[in-house]
Amino acid sequence: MTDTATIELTPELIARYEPVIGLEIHAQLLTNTKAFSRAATEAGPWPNTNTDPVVLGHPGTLPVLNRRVVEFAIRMGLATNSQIRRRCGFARKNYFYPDLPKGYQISQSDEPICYEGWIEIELDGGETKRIGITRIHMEEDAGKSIHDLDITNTLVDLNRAGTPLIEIVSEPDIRSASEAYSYLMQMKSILTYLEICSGNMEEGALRCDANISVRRRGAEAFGVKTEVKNLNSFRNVEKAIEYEILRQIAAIESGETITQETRLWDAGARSTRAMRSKEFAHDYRYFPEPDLVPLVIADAMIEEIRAGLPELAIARKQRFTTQYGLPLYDAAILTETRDLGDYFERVCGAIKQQSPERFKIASNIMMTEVLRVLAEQKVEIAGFGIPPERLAELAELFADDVVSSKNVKDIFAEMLTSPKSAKEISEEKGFVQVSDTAFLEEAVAQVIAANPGQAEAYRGGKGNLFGYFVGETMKLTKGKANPKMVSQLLKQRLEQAN
Amino acid sequence: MSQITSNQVQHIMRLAKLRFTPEELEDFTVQFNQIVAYVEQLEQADTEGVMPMTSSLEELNIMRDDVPGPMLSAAEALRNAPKKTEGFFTVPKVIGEVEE
Repeated sequence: MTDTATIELTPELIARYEPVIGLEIHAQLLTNTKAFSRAATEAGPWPNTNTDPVVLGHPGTLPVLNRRVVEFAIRMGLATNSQIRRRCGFARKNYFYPDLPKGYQISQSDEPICYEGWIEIELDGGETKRIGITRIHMEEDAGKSIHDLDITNTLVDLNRAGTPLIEIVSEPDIRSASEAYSYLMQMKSILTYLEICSGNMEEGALRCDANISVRRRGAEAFGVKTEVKNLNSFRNVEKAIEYEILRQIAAIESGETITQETRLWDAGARSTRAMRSKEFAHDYRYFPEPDLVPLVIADAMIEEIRAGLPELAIARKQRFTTQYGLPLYDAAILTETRDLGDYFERVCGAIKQQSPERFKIASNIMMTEVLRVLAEQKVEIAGFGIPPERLAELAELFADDVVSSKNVKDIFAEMLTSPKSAKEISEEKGFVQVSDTAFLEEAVAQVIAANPGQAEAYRGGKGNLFGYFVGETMKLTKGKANPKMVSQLLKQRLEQAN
Repeated sequence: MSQITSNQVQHIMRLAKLRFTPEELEDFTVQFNQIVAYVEQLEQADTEGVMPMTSSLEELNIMRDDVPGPMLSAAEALRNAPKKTEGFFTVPKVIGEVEE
């Protein structure tokens, strides 16, 4: 079929179709060693330095299963409300490719360790939708083939070979590109909260393929699906699915039939194209892996893993709104990663006078100052220099009206490079805000006396002159006056004299 | 009974990056068919109600701790490679895109 359908896709036309999408996610597990050998997973910059005879597939070598791979897979299964198969085994998926040294990948076929799960995703309107998980299975990664370094040869690096993966297959429950994006973000959040995957798509630690078809609204039967690969960023997943849905609708509307095929997303061209057709249909000749013994998972192991599960982002976000009284917006941002949420909770824990107002001040400092610096320095919260207890002091200094919000910014900037406390810095810099009523009354009186005309105009109804008086008072006190008190006193004084 | 053709043997040969003479190809085709015929005898066994056996080992749950062991140096890893370039295994250009 051609990709040149020129039918005009009006919104009415598009609305006649319902997209049906299922995602397959591969997540690299954060183990120290490979799935079936003791070679380290953490690779340096040099190729082929993370191998051993098992990884290289030398004759006579035998795989031995890494216990942590099983634990991580069960962790993910429990976190996605999946059933855990009590007895399962591995299978060989056979195919020829130079970065697959054994000629087969050890995977799971009809006995995936987890099955029949679901997660909830959040839709734009704030509603939630349940997406089914068909299965989660364990397998090993292949090496990397590099096609563009050498004109005549393909270069092979086996550092990645044997790295453990879980493959998470969703039910075809997803109905739009934005739902697919939410699903993927939710999966990333769960994987990273569970600390079993880095979630980094750009580095290939998280990979996603999409199965996409469209059908007329109201139709029962699914349309013919295509599988779109090469989706190497979260936004590309959304864009590629959007493109593919429209391409299929246009093709059907111009009387073509959709071919079941694999298509590659081309981020540069912002389109998908069919992969060059293979000479032969793939037959992976799955059969049980005879080198590994069956796995029987005891209830005790499952319960132990369940007991160790952390609170996930979606629950934590809700808790942040109730326990700390944060707006949902703040709660969503502060629970984006587990470490960020932990940091915020430590800040709140260190606040002496526990109150929602103070937690909100801490949240504001986190969102405006801390997150800005993390983005600028391109570091995660784990690499952030100010301990949470010290950030709490800064929040309290502001909450106690000792310093202004402008001072908070300056003190924060200083704290990034200084071991001194927020209080010490504010004293050194003379930032300490003046909240002495007698002193401020005097200043306010002076400002009003010096501006009789404006005072008259204000009293005559020119309410917008109020800011002028605040500004003058701040100027007079060299910015040290507590602005909240200045406002109060000005209001009193200006209205009194009326 | 299924019949393996010399075309199928040739396909396997190409995938495995092997080269056979026409005589060898003919020999292997005969041998492939002999092996398949031998294995097909299993179909005569009555396996009604028998649990599939995937391993002759009696044990279950053989696992190891997630602790790194010795690894090979790149030089050692590449020692048996017919071709190598700057630490990489070098293979004939893979043409087209192969689905994993």
